[in-house]
Amino acid sequence: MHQNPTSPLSTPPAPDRTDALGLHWGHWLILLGSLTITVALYLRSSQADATGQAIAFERESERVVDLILDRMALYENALWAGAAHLQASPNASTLNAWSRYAAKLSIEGRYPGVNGIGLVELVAREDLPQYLARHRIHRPEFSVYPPHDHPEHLVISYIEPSELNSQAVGLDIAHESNRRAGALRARDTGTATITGPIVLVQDSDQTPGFLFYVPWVDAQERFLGLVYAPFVMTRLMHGTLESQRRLVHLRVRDGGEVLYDELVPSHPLHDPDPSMSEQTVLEMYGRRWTIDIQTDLAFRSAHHSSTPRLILAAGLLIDGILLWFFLALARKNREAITYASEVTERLEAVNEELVQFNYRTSHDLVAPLKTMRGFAALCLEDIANHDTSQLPDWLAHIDQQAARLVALVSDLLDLSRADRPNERPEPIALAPLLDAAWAGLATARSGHSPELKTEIDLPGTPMLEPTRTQQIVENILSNAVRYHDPDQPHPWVRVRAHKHQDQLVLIFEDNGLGIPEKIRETMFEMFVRGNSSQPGSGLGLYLVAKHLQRMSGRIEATSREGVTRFTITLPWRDAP
Amino acid sequence: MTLPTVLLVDDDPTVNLLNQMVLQRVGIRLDEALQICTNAQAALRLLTGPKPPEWPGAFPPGLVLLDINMPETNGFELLDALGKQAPETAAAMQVFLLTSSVDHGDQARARRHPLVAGYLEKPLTTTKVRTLLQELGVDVPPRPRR
Repeated sequence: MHQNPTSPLSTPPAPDRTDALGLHWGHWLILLGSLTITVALYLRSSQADATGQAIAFERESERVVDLILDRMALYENALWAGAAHLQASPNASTLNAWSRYAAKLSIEGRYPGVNGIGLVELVAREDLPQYLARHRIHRPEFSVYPPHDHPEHLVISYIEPSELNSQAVGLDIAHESNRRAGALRARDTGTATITGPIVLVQDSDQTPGFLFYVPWVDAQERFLGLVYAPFVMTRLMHGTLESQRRLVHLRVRDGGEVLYDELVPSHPLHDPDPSMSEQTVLEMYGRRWTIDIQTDLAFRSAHHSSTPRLILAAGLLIDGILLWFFLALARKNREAITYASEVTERLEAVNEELVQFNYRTSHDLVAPLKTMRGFAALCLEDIANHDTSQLPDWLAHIDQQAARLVALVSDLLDLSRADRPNERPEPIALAPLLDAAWAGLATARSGHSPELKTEIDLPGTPMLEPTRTQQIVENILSNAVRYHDPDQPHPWVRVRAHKHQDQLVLIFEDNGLGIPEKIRETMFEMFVRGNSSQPGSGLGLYLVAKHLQRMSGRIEATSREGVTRFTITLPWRDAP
Repeated sequence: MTLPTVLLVDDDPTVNLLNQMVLQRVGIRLDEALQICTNAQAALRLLTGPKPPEWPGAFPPGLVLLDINMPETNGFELLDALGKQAPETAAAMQVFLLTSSVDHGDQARARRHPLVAGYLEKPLTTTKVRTLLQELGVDVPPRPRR
């Protein structure tokens, strides 16, 4: 075709507002928004968590400090009770009376952490022999130790339970500055006091401790001595704190000396990187205790909140899913665009084919009409000239052209039906089909015409689409008849059918003119004709190929040594 | 000017027969001044070669009636090839396209082509041929009377 009609289908390129990943700016905005919300929620949650921890720590440290203060107040009360008892009954200062009093206190049960409760008597230097004599009445081995140069003696006369504290009995606490300073402060201020850090003589472990004093005065407010309790710091703290479930650890210092220390790596719950810590200074009966408090591992596990991290993880997961979703969407979009352009391309090709088809068809429809008009004009001229000798010839040509037109219209109709959905296959008996088709070609076979030979060798009746099969057979036989060789003394057309594996094989052979070399490649295309001197639309083999394609069949053609052969294979299906 | 020698190029034998009859009626006879080719390649070979021994009348022909729609090589392609291969021959001839085409594009293309003197819509009739010959300044013999 020399024409190149422009196709009415054309696709303007779609404006591309997406980036390399195929994402629109709107997608990024949503992702960014989602990410911002995630981070904001994470930070808010973390902050709430930190606030919660700070409150918990404050509560916990206050509780621990209160426990220590309460416990000390409890001991103080016991000591004041002792002092009051002594003041009320002067005979209470005897050994037996003190033992009974101490037993009533039931120290072990009510005052856990205290080592004992004792009586310290103030003894003037000159009164020491008299003091010794008084106590040796019941305790001949009683002695005062160690010697010192201070003007007064402050001797531990009794301490209960005595068996735990026997080493302390007879100890002159004035010999040592811490003990003495605390005692004198109690005497001078009339208040309960404690000593600075000391090591108790009865503590075999030699750990830090202190003495708790309350002044013992008589009815005239004269200072007679002290009611005291010795404390080993570890016992005190264990007694105070052990029964409580704690989430903090602490260290107690008096001045530069450590009284009690849990902030050591050897402690099982020690947290080397505590979440929180603080320092509290307590005025403790005349001493200043510095308490360092830190959270421990128990606190960490109790207040470790996974919520912020969960929020972050969930948020990031959602963002990830969103991104994945957007990417998938973009990919689908790209695929759709690709598909659309492919379809457009195919449509353009089909449209181009259709334009060419229309051009060719309209030409082929008009050409015979014009030829008919030409012969009609000759007829009219001859009639005008009163010469009718050639009129039969001209009318025969008109008739032939009309027949050609009818055949073309019929082929076009077949062609338009070839693209219809498939028919239901039916059992097709090939021999009658071939005979009927051959009979239909009777007009074309006028004169010297080929002879039909059929060799059907089939195990049964095949299932085939009736109309398509009929048109295939008719078109191939029609070609064989039209292109028969007029110079051939015995022209024949032979049709053989057999089953090979799962295929029905149909072979059409003839000894006609053969297929011209120049159309061997194109004979199954539209409007290709073997010989323009023969009538025909050029659609016959195209239609055959189209039908076979629809029936999952194949056709091959050969033309050699005077024999033209079309071999058709179709899937074999037995009739039920 | 006397009747020209005519070359008829058309792939349809029926059309050729019709045209032969029409031309015969204005006095252009097959054995005297008319050559028929049934495809463009044969026509091209004829026009680019030496005068064939069997050629009736003047060579190259004074008038060419050329069909547009032919398989393989169409009328325009024949003219393009002729213009390249034998421009002098092409220039010496009056080429008229015979068209049955209903496509106006074909007619427009025929008007634009430098080697095309004009086009005639099929079917060819004696009236059309007489008019054409008169336009070309040929003394057309009177209608044969019987």
